[in-house]
Amino acid sequence: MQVNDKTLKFTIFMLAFLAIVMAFVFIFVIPSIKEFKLKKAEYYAQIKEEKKLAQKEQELQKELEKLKKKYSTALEGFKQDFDEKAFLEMAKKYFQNVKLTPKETHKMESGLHIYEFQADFSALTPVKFYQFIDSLNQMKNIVKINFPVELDARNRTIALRFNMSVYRLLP
Amino acid sequence: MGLLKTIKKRLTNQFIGVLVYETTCILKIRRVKNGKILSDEEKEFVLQTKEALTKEVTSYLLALQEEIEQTYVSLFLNSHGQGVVPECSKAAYEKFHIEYDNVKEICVDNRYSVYASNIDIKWAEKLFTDIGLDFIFSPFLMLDNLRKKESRKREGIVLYMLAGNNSITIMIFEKNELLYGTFINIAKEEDLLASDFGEEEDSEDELLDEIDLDLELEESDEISEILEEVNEDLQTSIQEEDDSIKLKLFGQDLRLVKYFDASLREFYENDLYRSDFVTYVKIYDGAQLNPDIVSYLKEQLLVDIDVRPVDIADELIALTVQEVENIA
Amino acid sequence: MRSFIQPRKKRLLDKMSSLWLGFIILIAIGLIVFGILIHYKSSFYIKMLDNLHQKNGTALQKVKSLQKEIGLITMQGKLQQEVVETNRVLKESIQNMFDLIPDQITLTKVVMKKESLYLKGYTLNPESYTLLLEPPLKSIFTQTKVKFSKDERGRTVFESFSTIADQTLEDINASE
Repeated sequence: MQVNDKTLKFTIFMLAFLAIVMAFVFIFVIPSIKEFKLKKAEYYAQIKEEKKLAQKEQELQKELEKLKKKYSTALEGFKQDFDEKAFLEMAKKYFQNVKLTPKETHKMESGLHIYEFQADFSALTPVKFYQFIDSLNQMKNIVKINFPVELDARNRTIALRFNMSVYRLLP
Repeated sequence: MGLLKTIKKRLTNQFIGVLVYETTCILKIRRVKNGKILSDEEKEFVLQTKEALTKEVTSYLLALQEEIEQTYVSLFLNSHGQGVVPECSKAAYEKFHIEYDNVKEICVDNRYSVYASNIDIKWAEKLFTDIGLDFIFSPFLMLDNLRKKESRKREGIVLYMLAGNNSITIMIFEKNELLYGTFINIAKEEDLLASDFGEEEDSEDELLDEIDLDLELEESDEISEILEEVNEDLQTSIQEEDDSIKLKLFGQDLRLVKYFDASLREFYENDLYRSDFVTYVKIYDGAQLNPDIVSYLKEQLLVDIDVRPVDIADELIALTVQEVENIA
Repeated sequence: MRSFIQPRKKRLLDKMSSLWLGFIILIAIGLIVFGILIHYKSSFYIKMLDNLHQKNGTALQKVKSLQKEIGLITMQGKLQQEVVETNRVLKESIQNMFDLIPDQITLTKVVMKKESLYLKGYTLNPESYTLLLEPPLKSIFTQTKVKFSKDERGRTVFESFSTIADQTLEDINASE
């Protein structure tokens, strides 16, 4: 009777102990460890990401500066407002008659504005036209001559007619 | 503590009453759980001497205590250095020539006070050093308990006596008031009614001297002679002589009677005690007394004597249970 | 208290039980503490994560905006280059065209398109044209047609139309 009692008690305690330990481990310990590992991994992933982004940012910044330098003239050109008068003044250097007829204006999503003009110039020789084009390319503004280009022989001059696109970037 | 108490009640409680006599040791073991008695067991062991418990007893008690955590061991104190004082104050102790500092006293119901010498208490604890002891109960407490259980309230002066294996405990009451009490170990020579327990006292009482001398002899022939002598000296006026009856009392029985007489004498003659004639005697017999004793006493005192058998071990357990209930 | 001595203190549980209980409680506490520590550590990471997520969010935005900016700048640059080049090519085309014209032929009208060339002018006789102008035209263009007529003065007028792409004359006439 005595021995059985003690053995029984011992067995009960042993089982209770195991049960409690199991319960605690499964309810508290394992989920906690899982969460910890998860969060730790996440954290380090994010740290990695942070580093990556920082590096990327640095790279891009460098590239940006590089490009800004490289394309400084272009950037200036896009910033430049189109002064018709100045343009015509410049054209007068090469042509007798100068006339600009504004046509349409295209506005792009990116902020790019394209101002279409029709140009009517009269030149004495085609060479003047070539010179004009060279000068045009040197100009601050970004101006493109479009096809078709019409040349008409008049009395002593060549009547030039072409379409012109002025490019402007507005923020 | 209420919660703790309820929990403890639900567990198994073990009460062990220990009675240590000259050559025997009696254990009474009661196990209670939830108020129900699981078991009652009594075991008797042989002792070489009353001064020490044998290995058998010790290991048995230790085993019992190991089994059950809630075990209470109580001892029935039957050393001679104990008694009662009809009042509870320190002054009373001085009045009755008892060294207050040498005893431990317990005031009962504010009516009287029970005491035992520190030496005896230490001795009892020493007896149980290896085992452990929870309670030491005075035989007066047991006797008073028995008295309280009486359904019939007696009028007049009643003498209660608890007869143990080797002792008698006497308490004289008037209604609920204790007038006088004494405990005598009748196994051997004791200093009767000595109040100073620090040293052996030269008895000034001639009567006592004679009793001492007389009790050395145990042969029947000589005893009858001596008895006559003693009786002549002891008896005052009332006692009638009945040789035939006295002849049948030997040894311890004889001592019982003698000490009983002496106690009663002390009660009547000592001015310290307020006394009147005893009108009734109630004996709680825990030792299967020789009926001749009762007859003798009846003739000596000319009063009604009622004898009721009791089991001292049982009563001890009862006291223990009561005590645990009250304090735990 | 009606005993001469005080009772000993009693335990509620025996040695084995209290040992086990103590052990169980200890382990339980240990496990709880462990769990709490881990959780605490987790919450540290969670807090940091919150912070990081935010940071990375803005960093990503920054990167995206930089990329956009770069795109824009690149676009501008390339566009400007294209414009300059187109103008130059156009100039060259006209130069080339004028180079093609021999002395015997006089131009009155030129309509130069991206992939076609319309010429009108005077020629001494159709043979001069066929001999002097047509071959170079043929070599440049995939298709070339010519029409001759006489004006009030009796001069031979030629009208030639040359294309590089596969286009029918009707389409050309329609677009003109």
